Formats: sequence, C-alpha cells, structure tokens
Amino acid sequence: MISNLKQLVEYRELLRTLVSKDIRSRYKGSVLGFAWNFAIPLLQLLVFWVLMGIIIKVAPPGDYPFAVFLFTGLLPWNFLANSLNGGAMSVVGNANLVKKIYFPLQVLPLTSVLSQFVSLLLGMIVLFAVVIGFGVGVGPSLLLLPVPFLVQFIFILGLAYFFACGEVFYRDIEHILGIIVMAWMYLTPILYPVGRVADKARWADIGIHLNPMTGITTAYQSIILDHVQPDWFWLGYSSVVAVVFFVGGFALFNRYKFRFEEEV
Amino acid sequence: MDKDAALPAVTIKDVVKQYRVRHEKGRTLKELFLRQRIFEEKINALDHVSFDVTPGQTLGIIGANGSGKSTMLKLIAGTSRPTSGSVEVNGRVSALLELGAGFHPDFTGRENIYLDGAIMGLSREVVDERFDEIVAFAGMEEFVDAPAKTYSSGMFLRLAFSVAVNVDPDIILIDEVFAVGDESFQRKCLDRMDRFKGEGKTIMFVSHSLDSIRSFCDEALWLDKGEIKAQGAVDKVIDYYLWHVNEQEEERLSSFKGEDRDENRWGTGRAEITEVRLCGADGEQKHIFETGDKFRIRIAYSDREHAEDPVIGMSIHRHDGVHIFGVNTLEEGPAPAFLKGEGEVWFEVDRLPLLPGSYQVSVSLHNGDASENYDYHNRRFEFRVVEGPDVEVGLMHLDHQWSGWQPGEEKLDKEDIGAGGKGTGRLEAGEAGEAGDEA
Repeated sequence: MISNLKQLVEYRELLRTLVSKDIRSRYKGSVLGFAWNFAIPLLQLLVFWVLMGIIIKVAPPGDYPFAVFLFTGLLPWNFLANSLNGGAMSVVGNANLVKKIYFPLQVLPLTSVLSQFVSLLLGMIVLFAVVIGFGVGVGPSLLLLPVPFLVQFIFILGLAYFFACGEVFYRDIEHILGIIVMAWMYLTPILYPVGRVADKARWADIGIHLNPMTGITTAYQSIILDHVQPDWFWLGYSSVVAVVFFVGGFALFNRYKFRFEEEV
Repeated sequence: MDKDAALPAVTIKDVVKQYRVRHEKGRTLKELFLRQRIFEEKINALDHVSFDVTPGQTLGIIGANGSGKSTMLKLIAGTSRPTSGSVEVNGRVSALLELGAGFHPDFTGRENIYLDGAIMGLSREVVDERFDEIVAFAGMEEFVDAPAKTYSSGMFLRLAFSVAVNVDPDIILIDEVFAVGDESFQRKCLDRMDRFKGEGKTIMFVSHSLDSIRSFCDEALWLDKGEIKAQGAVDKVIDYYLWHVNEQEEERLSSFKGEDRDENRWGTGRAEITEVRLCGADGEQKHIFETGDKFRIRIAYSDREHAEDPVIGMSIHRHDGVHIFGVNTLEEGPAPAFLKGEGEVWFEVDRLPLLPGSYQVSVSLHNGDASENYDYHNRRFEFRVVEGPDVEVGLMHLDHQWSGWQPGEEKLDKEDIGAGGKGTGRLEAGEAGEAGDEA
C-alpha cells in the first residue's frame, strides 16, 4: 500500500503530463476549445433555470433561485459521474500503454479523477459567478470548501480504482455504470433539498444519509449557499466511508494490476 | 557465464509465464454468476527459462514466431510478471517494444515528445535539455509543431524512436524496431546502438534479421516454444538455429510425395513415372541446396506396356511462375534405348547456378512428338536454394570475371585477374575463364 502510494509520488511528472494531456485533448479540435470547460456548466445552468424557474417554478429551499440550488449539487455530481466513467475506462482504454510500457498502473485512474477534478474547479468559477450574480454573496464559510472537496475526491478515487480494476475483467461494468450513477443521483439530495426526505421521519433521515454522497452534497450546499457550517456528523461519516473505499479500491487494484497486461 | 562483473544486469531464474487462451473472448458477469467456464487452455509462453545477462553484453534473441521472445522482453520491462520464477533487473530499463505508444495524434510533435518522455520516466527538465537532440535525431525540425496525426507512419516512428533512445537507460530492450524507417534512419539507429554498446550499456535485441544479430550482438539466445534451445557465441547459435529451420523445412518438403494423384498430375498412364527424388552429391534425398551445390534428380519410371518413343522431360520454375529451364531427352538426341521396361534416369547439374529462392520441378513422360502424355507431374517437387558463402543477387549465378584498366597504365591482361582468382564468383577461376574466354 505504502510503496504503491510512493510510486504515485515518484511518477508525479507522468501524472502531471497525463492529466494535462487529458484536459487539453478533451476539447481539442473544437472551435471553443478550452472555453467549453466554462460553457458546459453555464449552459447546464441555463437549462435548469428555464426549466425550474420559468416553466415548472419549483420553490427554492432558501433565498436563491432553485436553479442555483440544483447547480450547486449537480457540479460535484458531474465530477463523480465523469470520474467513474473515465476511471472505469482508464486501464482498458490505455491498453497499448499497459501492454508495452512499464509504469505504475495506479497512475491511470488517478489521472482520470484529477482531470475531472480540474473540471470541477473550473465549474466552481462559473458557480461563484452565478452565486454572486444572484445576490447570494460569499461568506467566511467558503474557507471550509476544501473539506468536501477532499472527502469527495478520496471517495471517488477509491471507486475509480475499484471500477477500473473490475472493468478489466468484466466489461459489463461500463454498461451498468451509467444506470447505477443515474439511480444513485436520485437518492442524493441534488434535485430536492435534503430536508424534504430527512424531516419526514427519523429512519428517513438516517436512510438518506447512509448514502455517503448525501453528506458531501449537503456540505457543498450549506457552505456555498447558506454560508453555514456543514453537518459535521454526516460529513464525518462520509469521510470514513471515503477512506474505507479508497483503501479497499486501491488495494484491489494493486493486487490485480499485474494481470491487466494479459487481459486488456 | 562471465562472473567477473559484480552483478548481472538481468537475472532470469526458472521463469514460467503461463497464458490462458480462451476460445471465446470476453468474460462477462453471466459467466461469473453461472460459474460457467468457457473452455480455457493454458499455454506456457516461457517454460522454466533461466539465464543471466552480464552488464555491457549485447544479447540477441532469436526464434520462430510465438517462441516467447517478446514475452521475455515484457517480463524484463516489467509490464508483465512471471507466473513462477524470478526476474531481477539491475538498472534503468528502456524498452523499445512499442514505439509511440504514448503518442496522442491530436498533439504536436513537441507536445508528444514531452508526453512520451514522461511516460518513459523522464522529467520535464531532462526533456527540455535533450529536446533539440531528439528532434535532430528524428530529422523532424520542420514538423515538430504540426499535429502528430499529420505525420507519415515513418515520421511518427522516427520521433518515437528518437525519444526512446534519449531516455539514457542502462538496459535497452529492442523488439524488431529497425524494420521501420528508411535506409538512412535504419543506419542512424544502428549507429546509435553501437554508441550505446560503446558506452557499455546492456542491450537485448529481438530480431528475425539474423544478419543484424550477427553483426551487432556478442551472444545469442535461441528460444523455441518457450524453452532455451541454445545460448552462446552468436555464430554458433545462429548456425544451429538455421540448421534446425532447414531440417524442419526438409521434413515439410519431403512429406510432399510424388505418388499421390492430384490435379497436378495427369496423363494417359500407359507409362508411369514412379518416383522423383531430388538429391545432393551423396545421392541422399535433399530439398535444400546452396548455390553451387551438386543437384541431381532421380526419375524412376515404369513402361510395362512398351509405349512408343518414350521421352522424359523436366523443367524448373521459380515459385512465382518464372520458367527457368526445361529440357527433354529427345532434344538432347535420340530417345535412349534404356527407356524400355523399368528403370531410372538421372538428371544432374554439377553446380546449381540458382540463387536463393524456392523452386519447383516438373517431370514428364510423353511420346516423341508430344501428342500423347503418359504421365505429367506439373510442378510437384519443391526445393529451396539458400544463400551460400557468396553474396550474389538475382535469379542465377553467372560465370564471370572482372577486369580493369586505368589511363596511364598498360592495359591489363584479363588473364592476370583470372589467375589471381579474384572476383570470379563462386566457381573456380579456371572454370570461369574457360567460359568467358573467347579463345
């Protein structure tokens, strides 16, 4: 475990290059190029704003348009969905590297997650512009933002290792993953405020929070929109789950990585 | 093996690499849940292989396709792990196994150099430092800022090779990469390899080009079906390998029997060719000859019905259909009286003039005016000519000699050169002189 982690540090140069390749190649050849990183979240927001604010008119849980609430939860969710997709394909999709060149393979899922993390940060710039634009403003609570970032990052990375390894042996994963992510999104308070479920009953409160993404998503919402501290208890729970998944996924990946070359 | 160096660069100890070969590709959850095993076969790509490579050695690895050569390099490069046994490597390895594996077609040559460099473990500063050298070596100065997808395949590989050799490794693994690139680039590569050799780097070189192995390596290793067949001095191992390959081919060609009837044999059958055998000087059956060898064909016949005017003919075609030679016993004079009843005739060539290639022999038995074919074997007997000690190219050897004259000198007598025995090709000087002399 430790030596496998150390290798990640040793190969940081490769990691840096691969992440930058990933980010730059994503919109290479398109007219907007790098600007797509901002255009996509902006357009997404626009769609929600029209849908939720004008057509359906959903009441927001606070002093801001519902679209902004939704967007706050959706950006981190996109990070999860894209990272899991990219992570799952990271070994299989780089078959020629895996087969022919020696380097620590644990670099690959990390590359996918890091490059999506950069997208998340870029999306956050758009989010803050919107938050300020709608008069929500900023507060000292934003200093806590790195906490959900970190927890979510570790959690997703663990899952990415798990799926990347699984995908090598069972190609079914790439197909089922989209469905899992979609169902999981509805179980996470992104489209609705957590209170709408949690306030109903004690068991509902616990139930929805057993999903580790609940604690993370509500932390983003509290910090960015409500300028209050996150629910430390459930964020703590999410952190524990994140670390467990990371350790498990990373160990699994490293245990089987020497067979990847034969299977991809 | 040489033990004076402190540590071997590579130690392979009792290595087995087993691959599962699935007859149906794809492992799915269904298979997992139903505990269904799609038919699997295990093959040992390497089977209890042990050897050492001393630092500074240049080892050539030869063997047929599928003999485990590339698997061996993969194990040393670290992309694959042995099923059992151990592989120890002392030093930094650069594997030229798949060139340009890390290239991205949308990126420019410049970006790709950094990318490929990083994959091979070079830091950004080191690539900065060697950038000009890499570009110059590849001869890509003009194209370095164009996207790699616009490169020709040769340019692509040149650039990739150029990055790979600039990794500054201790141990270099090369798998048939010289096959790409034009002549001048190939020479550049070989020069570069020579330089590595001069710097005392350890090189392991897999190639099917025995000439490059011979000229480049100190030692050779012959792998056959995952086992070491021979290891040691280059010439010895290659000779042994070639002998084995010839032996196998001999076996294949001799399984090609003349007795069976097929679409390549026809005739009225009133007289029959019962056996055709290609032989060397000793009369033993043989299918592989060197240019200049004695070449004989034994043709056994049976003419129990006493067909009129039997004539035996033969011809040689190259494998691509070029008709090289044809003759029959009639053209050479009257049909020999011995062609009655049963017997054999011999067709003999003292020095086979054909150059390397594969050839087919046809034999026929027909009547005097060729109006009736008794038995015709159309190109049914194959033989191969392999390179002899002299290097000549083309279809066949010509008896020849060179002579020369420079202004200011007395005209050289042809005879002088002939007598020196120089440049007369494979045949003896006297023989060649005889053929070439007007007198």
